[in-house]
Amino acid sequence: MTGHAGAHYTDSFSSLLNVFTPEEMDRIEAYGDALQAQAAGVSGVARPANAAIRVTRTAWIKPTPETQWFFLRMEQAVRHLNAQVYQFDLTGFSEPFQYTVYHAEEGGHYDWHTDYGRLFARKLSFSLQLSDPAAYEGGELQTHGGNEITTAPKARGTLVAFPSYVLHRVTPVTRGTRKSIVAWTAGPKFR
Amino acid sequence: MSAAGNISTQSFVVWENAFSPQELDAIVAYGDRLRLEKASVIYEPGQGGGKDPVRITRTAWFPRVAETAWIYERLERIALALNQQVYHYDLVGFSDPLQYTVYQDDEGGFFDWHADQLEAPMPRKLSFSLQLSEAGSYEGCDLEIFGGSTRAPVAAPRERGIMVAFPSYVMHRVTPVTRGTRKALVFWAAGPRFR
Repeated sequence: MTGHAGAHYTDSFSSLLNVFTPEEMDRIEAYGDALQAQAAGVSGVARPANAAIRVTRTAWIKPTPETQWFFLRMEQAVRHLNAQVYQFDLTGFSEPFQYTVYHAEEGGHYDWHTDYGRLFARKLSFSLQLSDPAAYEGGELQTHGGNEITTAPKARGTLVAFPSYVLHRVTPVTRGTRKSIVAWTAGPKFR
Repeated sequence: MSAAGNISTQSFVVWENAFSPQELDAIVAYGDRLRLEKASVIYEPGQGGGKDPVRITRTAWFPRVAETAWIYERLERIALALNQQVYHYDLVGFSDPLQYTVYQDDEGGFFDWHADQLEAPMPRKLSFSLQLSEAGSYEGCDLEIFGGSTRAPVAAPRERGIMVAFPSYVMHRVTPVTRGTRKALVFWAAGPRFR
């Protein structure tokens, strides 16, 4: 008997290109950088006991009048992807957006993990690629499902989505800096 | 009989004493009479995996016949109870016949990381594995599960008669058997797509 190595449609990610214009990407990046500069002394590097697992700098982008346009556009993109691919029952974003920065000099990375079954009922996870792929090496977002490791597209402005139960990681950044926006949507438990 | 384990911290649940030792003997005896076929899964070229095998096992399918009806009925009852207690998934029944699976040290039996989700005819949603061999009768061959909120793979209990259940999207593997033979009964519950 020969088994199946084929991937299930939810074992990996789906993606949407050019969700934002380059100018809009610049705005988002500038907003995140300003937040992070403020928070640097507070959040610093996520390097507690789990440094082997994760080394990143993060800041939270909350819905405010200034960021409302960004949340609305992300919501549109999320609705589109969910309607096209997943058809999950979703109620909205589970948390503020996470502005996440991986620096080569810090060995920024995030080892294999899932987003499901922790603090929030996260069902779909999203990553918006903010950095030009030429600005860094490594820092690849990868999913591991159905016998395969798959690398997400890196083009700036690509929104990557995957079910929150899928194992994923960000490989170590070896040169430069990778920036991304991470978001999660919530809903009733899978049934 | 009870479901132990916490879905919020662990990626699998455990059901003890699904069968008596005599019943487990009967299941193994039935399985050993079937013609075991070598099951192998090979990465397709171009999918990033080269041509290394990802699975070396021997398997046979238990037909649902008068002789096996009691096994099916027991497992259906447990699967239903476990789903009611822990998962609350929409399920319609088993996706396939029960799979009798044998890992032998002389052929280096193992099954690399994978998930069980399949679309047709209905998505597999819950995976089950019943330990049929005495824990001390083999070495290696741990069923390791990597999901939920655990930061590293967790090995399932090895005791004979233990049944482990986990969502079919969860990555898992069976490490190589280095001594002896491990036998297990594997099956899946299916239902409409997760939503």
